[in-house]
Amino acid sequence: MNFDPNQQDESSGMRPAIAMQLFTAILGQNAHPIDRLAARCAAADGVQWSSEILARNGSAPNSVDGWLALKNLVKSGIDESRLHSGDPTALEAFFQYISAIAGALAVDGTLITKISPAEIRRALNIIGPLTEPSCRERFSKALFQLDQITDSGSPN
Amino acid sequence: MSSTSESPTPSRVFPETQTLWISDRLSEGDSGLLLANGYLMASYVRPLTSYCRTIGLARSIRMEADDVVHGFFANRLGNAEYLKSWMSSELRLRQWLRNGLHMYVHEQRRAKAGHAGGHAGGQAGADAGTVGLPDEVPSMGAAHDREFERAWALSTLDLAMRETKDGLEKRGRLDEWEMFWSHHVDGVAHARIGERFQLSAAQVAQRAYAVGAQLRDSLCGILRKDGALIGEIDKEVRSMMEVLHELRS
Repeated sequence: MNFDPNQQDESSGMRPAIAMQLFTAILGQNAHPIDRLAARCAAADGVQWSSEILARNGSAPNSVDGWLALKNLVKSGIDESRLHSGDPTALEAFFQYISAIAGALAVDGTLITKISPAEIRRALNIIGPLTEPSCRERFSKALFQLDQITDSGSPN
Repeated sequence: MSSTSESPTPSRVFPETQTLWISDRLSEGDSGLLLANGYLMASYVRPLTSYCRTIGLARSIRMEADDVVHGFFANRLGNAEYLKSWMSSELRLRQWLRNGLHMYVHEQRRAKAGHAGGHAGGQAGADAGTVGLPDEVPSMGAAHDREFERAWALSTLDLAMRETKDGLEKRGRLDEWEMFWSHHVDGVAHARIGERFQLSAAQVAQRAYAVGAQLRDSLCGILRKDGALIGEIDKEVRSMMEVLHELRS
């Protein structure tokens, strides 16, 4: 099912992107970080937001080691409690973290995290379509690689 | 939504087993039935109409979606037994109404086919499928389920939002809604919002949090009337988010 998260729903007048933000506000501390990140990316300025964060890292690494180094670097900026309260800095770090995992996966199918493939797939599925085109493409390649991992039953 | 504000959900007063709002209304006789029907119309017409239009259910009987859904409610809601039968169904009210809508469309299709057959003169049984009987909507299973759940999630949240805003407006505190919206939807920091309202960041955070809690209460009330238990609210909200997330499935 494909629909634009910023397309107004004809019956309720509610945009799915706004709905995601409101649901996150309703869940408060209980909102899952992936949902929180998706809500941020789905905001009106979400594409620009994600694009600016990625630009801060400079050019994208082209090796798994490069992505691994980036992942470890940004991971230190993720404060769990601040992430659960929707702190913008923690959310930025979390986005960089997911992007680094996607980058490694897109390069050669290496999953540089202990997070379950199902959880990574969910993050790629939800957040990927809400980012700028080059990032979206990376998330899409990563998703394809992740499907190969799952299909073959081994991580490489 | 006057019906919900006039008859608050008794979820905080009574044990879980006695909190079915519609059950309480039906026990009040005709006046309660009227309230329950008003609530159903206000809450379920929009998602059912959207669903009916999107999956081609209305088109299948050559009617407008609005007319089909209003016809369905007019046909069913006059009888208190109809809602009573929901309570023994173990389905969420929205799912039960959706099933009922499909049944109603099926009845309409048969009626139209019978009518067309009558005009054809004795060929009703043989020709109904090709001459008078409009096409059935092919079952799309999970895709149709998701479409309905998506319409339900958006219209329910919209309803909760309007209830919350109306409540704040009545108390002359609509600026608190603006604080909530600026922070959670527009992503503006509490401190910046505070500058606009001459409040500290902490005061804005407190007000925005309180509005979020009121929105949650409104949504909770709607979900409870739909048949969810109090302990299931977070799970319900998460599944509503999940269906909105399904951009690529």
